[in-house]
Formats: sequence, structure tokens, C-alpha cells
Amino acid sequence: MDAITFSHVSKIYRKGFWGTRVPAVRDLSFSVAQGGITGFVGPNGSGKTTSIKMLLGLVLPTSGRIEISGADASNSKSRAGCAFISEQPYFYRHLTAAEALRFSARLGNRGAALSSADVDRALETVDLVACGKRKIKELSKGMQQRLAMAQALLADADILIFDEPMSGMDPPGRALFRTIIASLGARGKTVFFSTHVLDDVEQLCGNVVVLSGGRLEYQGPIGPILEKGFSGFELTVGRVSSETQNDLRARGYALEPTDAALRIFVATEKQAAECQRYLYERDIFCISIVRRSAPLEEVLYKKRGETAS
Amino acid sequence: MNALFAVMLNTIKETIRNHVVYVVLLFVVALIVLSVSFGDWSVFARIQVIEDFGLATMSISGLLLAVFIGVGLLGSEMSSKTLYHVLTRPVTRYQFIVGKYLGLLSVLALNYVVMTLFFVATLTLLGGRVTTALLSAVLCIGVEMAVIVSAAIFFSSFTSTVLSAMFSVAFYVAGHLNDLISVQIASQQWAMFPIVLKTLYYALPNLEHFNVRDAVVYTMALPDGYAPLVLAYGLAYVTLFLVLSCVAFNKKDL
Repeated sequence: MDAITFSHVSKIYRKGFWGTRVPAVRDLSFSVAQGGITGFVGPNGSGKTTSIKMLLGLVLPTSGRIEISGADASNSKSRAGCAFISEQPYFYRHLTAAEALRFSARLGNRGAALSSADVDRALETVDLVACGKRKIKELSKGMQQRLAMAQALLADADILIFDEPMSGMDPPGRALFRTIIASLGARGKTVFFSTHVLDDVEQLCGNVVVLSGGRLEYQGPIGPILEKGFSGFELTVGRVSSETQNDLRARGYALEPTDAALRIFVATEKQAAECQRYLYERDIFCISIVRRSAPLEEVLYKKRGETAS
Repeated sequence: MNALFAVMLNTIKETIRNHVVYVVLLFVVALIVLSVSFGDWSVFARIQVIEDFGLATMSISGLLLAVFIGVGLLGSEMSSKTLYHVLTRPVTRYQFIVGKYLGLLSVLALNYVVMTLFFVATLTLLGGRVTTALLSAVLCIGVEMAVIVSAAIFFSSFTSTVLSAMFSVAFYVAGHLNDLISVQIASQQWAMFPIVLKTLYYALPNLEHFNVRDAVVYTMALPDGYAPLVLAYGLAYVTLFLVLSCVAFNKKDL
């Protein structure tokens, strides 16, 4: 059974006095398997947030069916095994951080089983242990995002739905979230992760769902998309003589010398191995070998352009 | 049930920290104190003036609290989107509405008890008597407040905060003028639209049923079982408004 299933889901909003039809999602069908991290990407207005709201029962689909672990998403019980982090944390500002966690646990019927140690542990995981008694209104947006992550962890949910969870966070916070999300995926949790930052998708997600104009553009492993953007390998070595540089050029490799190093670009894995052997025989050691890919964003845009044409 | 209780407790905490409750409480206390001096102007009916003024003040305070807090109860949740925190958990929308209502009602009931104690203390100190009719009047005003708050929640479940406030005030006024509508239907003087008038008459609760100030002031006996009947009447309307709120809120995109 899939963790999340969208079957021919459409959403048409009615706007203005005359109720003009504004389609946000059109005949969307995709599924997210149990376990692993799935990225949910698309440009602004592609229908990501509307889809997530429908998944969480906040917005009602005009047609189609959404399921969470086989249960109809419009039924509140389907959310029992879910946790959600939104782009903007929506905590009650009169509560303290610890009270907010307890409140959330009570809503998920875990209140009685929750101990102070559980709350402290969750706060510690997100580096907020000193903020348990502080009011939400005293916490910065980044701190509230961390608290939202603590709440999601405390729910011990099997399915975690994140809508731009790292928006507005500082670099240490982003790094922490990436580590937590990666560990959730490694523990077999299902993470459905909407973001604009494709670098995050590239690093964290095994699968990706791409939306464009409210329609499904692509669903599947991220590998083939990255493969489309593959542009060879980059070997970096220290300084080498001009004679060696000429020799490398003669072998058909592109070079980019800098003050302290030389970067060598090769097209295939075979060439990378040959180049490495050549350097090794001359006692030149590689500082790094990097697989070069076009940014995911570039690949996705290209893909959309191809589809449109 | 746990979720409903959690929403209720959270609303109690939220409302207790709302300064409007204390402002209205102070306003009522100040008016009751003021009613003592109004009573002094009347040579023969000092206690009656205090009773009438005190009960009217408590009734108006119910309207004020419904408008200032009841209307904003859902509106503020929707504008600040804090309801996402609740509704993305395994909580139904009806649990949310009923939990919010019961939470607010708990604080208002506490507030109302404080007002009543102050009113009764003032009255007793000035030589008045706490009669069954007086206690019935207090109960009726409390039930009326519960009805107005439920109506305010119903209005805010499908429209903006400002419109909900206007509808709530109109509901209060129309509810108290309901008897007048029946008089007009009977007299046929203005009844150009008898169907409209009859619809209004039956659709709106008759809030005058909750007004037994005259019986208190003029020491008239209330019919037997009046208070329980009014309580049942009020509860029926509270249930109706909460069901309608849930139906309207269930269909709303958040």
C-alpha cells in the first residue's frame, strides 16, 4: 500500500463576485511509496501548496480522491499517522514552546503518554532545550520552524509532510534540518517534501514529483533527471608542469589552470579513469574527483520546455 | 474526545489572556456601582432601579463579549492560520468548533459568575433581596449569552469578522424585537410581506424570553418551570447554531 495516493484530483477555486473558475490542480494522479524521501517540486503557482492542503484536509478537492495509507484523506483519522511542517509556523502565540508540544501531542491523542523527558528530548534534537519555557511570540521564525520539527518528531508519525520547511532558516538550521530529514528517511519514514530549493531535493530525495501548471510533469526516481544534466567529471590536482598540461590537452581533456591548482574536465567515466592512471604514473595525485551535473532547476526547466514544445 | 478537550483547554487559556474579558468585566462592575447613584435619584424605587440597571448591564455585556470575542474566535484563527496547527492533526472540524465554543463559554461563565456575585453583593448591601425571580433572571441572561456566542460563531464560520460582528448585533436587536414582528403580523398594518415577516419570526429566536427583568423589578411571579423551559429553548438554539456552524465550516477551504 502506498503512503500517499492522488487519483485524478482537481481543484478549482471560485474567485470574485461572479465566482470565476480558477483551476489550481488539474487531474493530478501520483503516488508516494512507503518509506524514503520524495521531493515535491514545481515553480510558483504550480499547485504544490494546494495539493498539500488537500492532502491534509484543509482544502476540499473539486473532484478525485486522495488517500493516506489507504484511508480517505478527507477523514481526520487518516492524519493520525501524519505530521506536518508548513513554510510558516502557525503556533498559538500565548503558549510556551513546551506547552505547544504538549498541546500538539494531545491533539494526536498522545498527550497522556508524553513525559517531560520526551518534550526535553524533542527540544534538544532541534537545539531548543533552553527555550522550553519561552512564549512562542518571543521565538524567531527560525526557532519556531525548529519547534515545528520537534513537534513532528514527537508525533512519531510514519508519514511526514513538509511544505518548504527550511524557508527563512539560517545555514546551521538548514544543515540541522537536512540531517534530521535524511535520518527520518533512513529510519524508513515516508517524507513528502515540498521545496523550491532544488539543491535540497538533489541531496535528500530518492524520488521526485514535479508539478507544472497544476499538472503532473514527472514522477519517479531523481536519478534519470540528474542523468539528463550529467556533463562529465572534474578532476582537481595541484600545480603541474606546462609540459604535462600540454600532454593532457593533446589527449583531448579540457583544462582550467588556477594559481594553486589545475582542473581537468573529462566527458566519461572511462576517460576519468584513464586520466587518473596517467596522473598516477607521473606521481600527480588528485585532490578531488567530482561528478558534474547541471543544476536540477536547469534540467527541470529544460524538461518543461521540451514538454511544451 | 481528547482532541475536543484539548481545543477547549487551549481556548480557555487563550481567552483568559484576552484583555477584552477584563475590560468588559470592569465595565459591568463600574455600571453596577453607577446604578447605585441612579437608584438614589429615585425616591421610592431605589432597589428596583439597581436591579433593572444591573440586569440590563449584564445582558449588554453578553452582547459585547459575543461581538468582541465570539466573532473573532474563528476569524482570528483563520487570519493567523493557527487552526492549521489543529486541523492538520487527527481532529475533525466539528471537534474544533465545539471545543472553541465550550472553551469560550467556560471563561464567559466564570466571568458571569464574578459579575453576578458582585451584583448580588451590591444589592444585598443596599437592602435588596435575592429572590428566585432574580436568580432566574440571571440564569436567563447567561443562557442568552450562550445563544449569542453560538450565533456569533455561526456567522464567523462563513463570513468576515466585521460582517459577523454586524450580523451578531443585528441578531441581538432582531431577537429582542421578535415580539414586535408578531404584533405586526397580527395587526396586518405593516404586513406587506407577511411571509417574510413570518419567516423571520419563526427563524429568529425570541430573545425576549430571556428577559425577565420586569418580573424581578415589579416582583411578579414567573410561571412554574419557566427557567428550565428557557434553558431548554436556549440549548436548542445553541445546538442548532453549532450544527449550522459545523456544516458551513466543513465546506470551507482554509
